[in-house]
Amino acid sequence: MRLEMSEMIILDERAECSLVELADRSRLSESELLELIDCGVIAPRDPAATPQRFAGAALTAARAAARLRDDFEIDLRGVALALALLERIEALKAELCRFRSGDPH
Amino acid sequence: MKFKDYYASLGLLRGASEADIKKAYRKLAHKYHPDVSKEAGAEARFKEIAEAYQTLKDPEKRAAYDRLGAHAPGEDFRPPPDWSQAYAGPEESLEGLDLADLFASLGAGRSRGSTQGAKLAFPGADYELRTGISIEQVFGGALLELNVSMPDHDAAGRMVRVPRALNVRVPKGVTDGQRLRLPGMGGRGFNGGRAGDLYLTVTFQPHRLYRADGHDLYLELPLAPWEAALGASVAIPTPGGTVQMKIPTDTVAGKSLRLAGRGLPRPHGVAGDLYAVIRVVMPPTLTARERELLKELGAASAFEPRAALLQEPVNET
Repeated sequence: MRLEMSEMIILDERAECSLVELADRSRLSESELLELIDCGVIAPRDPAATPQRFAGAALTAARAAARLRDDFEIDLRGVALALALLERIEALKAELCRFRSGDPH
Repeated sequence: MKFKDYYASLGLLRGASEADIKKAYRKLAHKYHPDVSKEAGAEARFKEIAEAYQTLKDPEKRAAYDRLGAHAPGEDFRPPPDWSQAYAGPEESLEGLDLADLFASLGAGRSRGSTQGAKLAFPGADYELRTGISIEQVFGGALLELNVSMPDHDAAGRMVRVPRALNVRVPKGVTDGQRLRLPGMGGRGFNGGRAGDLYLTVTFQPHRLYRADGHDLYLELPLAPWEAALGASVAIPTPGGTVQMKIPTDTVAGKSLRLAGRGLPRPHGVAGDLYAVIRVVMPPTLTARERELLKELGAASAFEPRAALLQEPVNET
């Protein structure tokens, strides 16, 4: 078994990519991505800029969208709703965690 | 080959209808899908459910699976000879193969066959992996060795499991739940298609002292009542080493004191902060002298800690 060294990219604000790269990496089509952008689930870094550029969070969301579409066999509107609710749950869990530990923020 | 009971994975009997299979899968997927459930073991359970569904939802794969007969899960079994000829080819050995890979090859062979030999380029598969790391590893940028068993294709185009050891350095600025992309470290591409990527999610292991929130760390700091009231200089642990912290006079329980730049490193710019959350604690046992001093304090103090409890409610009209 060979030991391989690998480059690692943090999928944060600085991991920028184009719509074409986002489609290639998420396995969603460009039209599917545009529909998710319309629903507000995926946001370009600057909505006014052309061509659009996307941060790491967009790739994370797009990959989750592809998984939900394939694994639950649901259409993109269902995917968009599921992603929005999952994001809300994550935010509430983080808030609950802070509240339980008694931190002021 | 190890047998897997796909019907049992979905909680079904062998004669289940297509509608039952779909219904059972959907119900279980809602419960165990890794994007929906963060429960321990959910991801592994979902993989099992998805693997069963991928085979049973396809009439051809289901018929092939049914011809294997019923065995106990995990039991070593040999597929009937005509099964091997029909589904794996006369020359191919099924020894050491995983049942899931075999059924995936069955589907892949069909789709590749439909291209009538055209050399279409396909990208390699992407893989998702999770790993737990300690706050010390994050702080120090530790080198992780990840051992993964990755589905891949052999020269004959058959699915096989390939063990891979990846050495990755925890990048500066990682936070709990952070997703990382390792370009080209997924499955191999076909006919010149690019290799897939490996996506790694890092989660922080629970720490004895710290709780992380982004790049900031929270530490519960116990103080004696007199330290909180009179102020003090106390030694507190941080991931970078022990530092002295000045406790101001009249510090109350629950207050957070900030140590700037003593949290986790950011990719660029200054590190996060460390917050010491004050907890005022009494000595577990009191000496006679301590008791005497506390009595004296009690007699001298007009402090009423329960004043708010005894207030009459104000009628709002």
